[in-house]
Amino acid sequence: MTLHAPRHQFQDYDDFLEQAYAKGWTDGMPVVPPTPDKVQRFLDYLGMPPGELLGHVPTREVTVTAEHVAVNAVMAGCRAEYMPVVVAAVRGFLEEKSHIHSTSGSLMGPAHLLIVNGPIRTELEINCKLGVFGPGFRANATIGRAVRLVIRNVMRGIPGFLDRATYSTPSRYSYCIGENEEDSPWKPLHVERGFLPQDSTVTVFAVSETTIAGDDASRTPEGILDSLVMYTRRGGVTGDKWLGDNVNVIMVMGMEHMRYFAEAGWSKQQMRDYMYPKLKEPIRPGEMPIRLGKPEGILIVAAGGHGMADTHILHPHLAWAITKPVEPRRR
Amino acid sequence: MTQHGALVTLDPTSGPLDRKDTRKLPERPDTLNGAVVGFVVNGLGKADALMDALYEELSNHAELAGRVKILKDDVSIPPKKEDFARIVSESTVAITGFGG
Amino acid sequence: MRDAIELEWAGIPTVALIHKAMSGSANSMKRLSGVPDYPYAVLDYPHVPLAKWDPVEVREIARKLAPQIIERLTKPAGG
Repeated sequence: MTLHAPRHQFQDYDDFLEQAYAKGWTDGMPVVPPTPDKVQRFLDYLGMPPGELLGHVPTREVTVTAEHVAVNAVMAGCRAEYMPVVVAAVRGFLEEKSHIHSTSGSLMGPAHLLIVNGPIRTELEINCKLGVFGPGFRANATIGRAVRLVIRNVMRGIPGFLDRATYSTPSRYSYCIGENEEDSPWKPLHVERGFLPQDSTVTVFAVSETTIAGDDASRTPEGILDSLVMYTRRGGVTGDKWLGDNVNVIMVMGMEHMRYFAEAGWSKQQMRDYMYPKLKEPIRPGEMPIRLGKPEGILIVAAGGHGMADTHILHPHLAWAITKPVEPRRR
Repeated sequence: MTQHGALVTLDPTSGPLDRKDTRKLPERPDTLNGAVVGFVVNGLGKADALMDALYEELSNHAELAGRVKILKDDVSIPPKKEDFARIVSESTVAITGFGG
Repeated sequence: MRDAIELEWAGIPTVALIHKAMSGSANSMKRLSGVPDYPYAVLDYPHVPLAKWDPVEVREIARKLAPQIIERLTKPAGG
């Protein structure tokens, strides 16, 4: 299984790092040298040949292979064991309705979120609790970063080149969470989307902005959901003819809000059915259009710690949320 | 991998950002007289209204023979195959936009 | 930009309308598509990008763009 990428020679690590910056290979943070041995080890872990095709970005003359992903995963600081998740996420972002050409080039600068479900989450220690969106967790940090480096280095999403984000966002360094399936009263996201509980999946989603829906006054499911509806209507849910009825908004709910639904026995579907007609009421001043086509477009994810009575509403860019299976190793 | 004091790494990109396409662009007509103008509207903002205004404005400069207008379903995707084929088969020249 | 290039490859003389604010991505697409010198028509300020214009401004923009469009869709005078 011959590696195809061109090779570069450097005097030492410092020389490599300076050249990596000069050549535009990094996100601004230091990177790990993708030596042929290490890249080969990452591919061997998957049991995947270097040239295996993961997808295309036709408008950019780009083909993405397993080797591309392995090189960038090494650079991001991943362990080889993270590769199945990184590959699944890249496959997800290469699905047509993930619309990577738009989401990685747009002036709005959406961030590329990964939500990991299933057993691999605990195997890899992907954080889904306290500090879920923040730094400090190797798997979250490096898996999300690996995907962003693939978008940058392989898919040409380079700021100032095809990435035209007016402001961009720190979420574009890395944006990977797990769902807190253990503390959740609900079916996990991947089970709602047709997978088995024992399957591992990655759901990818382009987030244009986040609204932190704080409500520490409500003590009922209805009261909390009314707040979520209000905040969602302010930020809106974008869409267009091409995306049709399958656009999504994701609500990441932490422990303080979640417990009211657990106590009252509300399912995610009941929550959706309660919110959807209220979200679809005619637009009022100060609100944005809601292009959801059906209640199932609202995806509810359990994550985050105790403390703040918030739910994070993740508004979409012009793309669907796509769920891909994490494939088992092939050997 | 250190060999003889050197660190060898693999290139993380999908190749150079610049490519060269050798296809020749089609020859331009002398004037727009008799031209059917194809409009590919990306749907951004008032792009549709601008294309209509452009047809009127161009009509002040040339004896246009007509227009074909297609609306894309999303700003950042190519037109539908059948729409693209219609522009190619029915237009003399084309205008796309509005955007980057 | 890519739509215009694809139409050119299909044999139709085409011009893309680009706001100056978007010229960076337009130029990047030209480079990636292998036609770095391909010309387009540029709209500049005070007209804002993203095409949020009123009807009067739309007509004014059409008047401003028409000469560039004609220049890029026809043979040079005397050429």
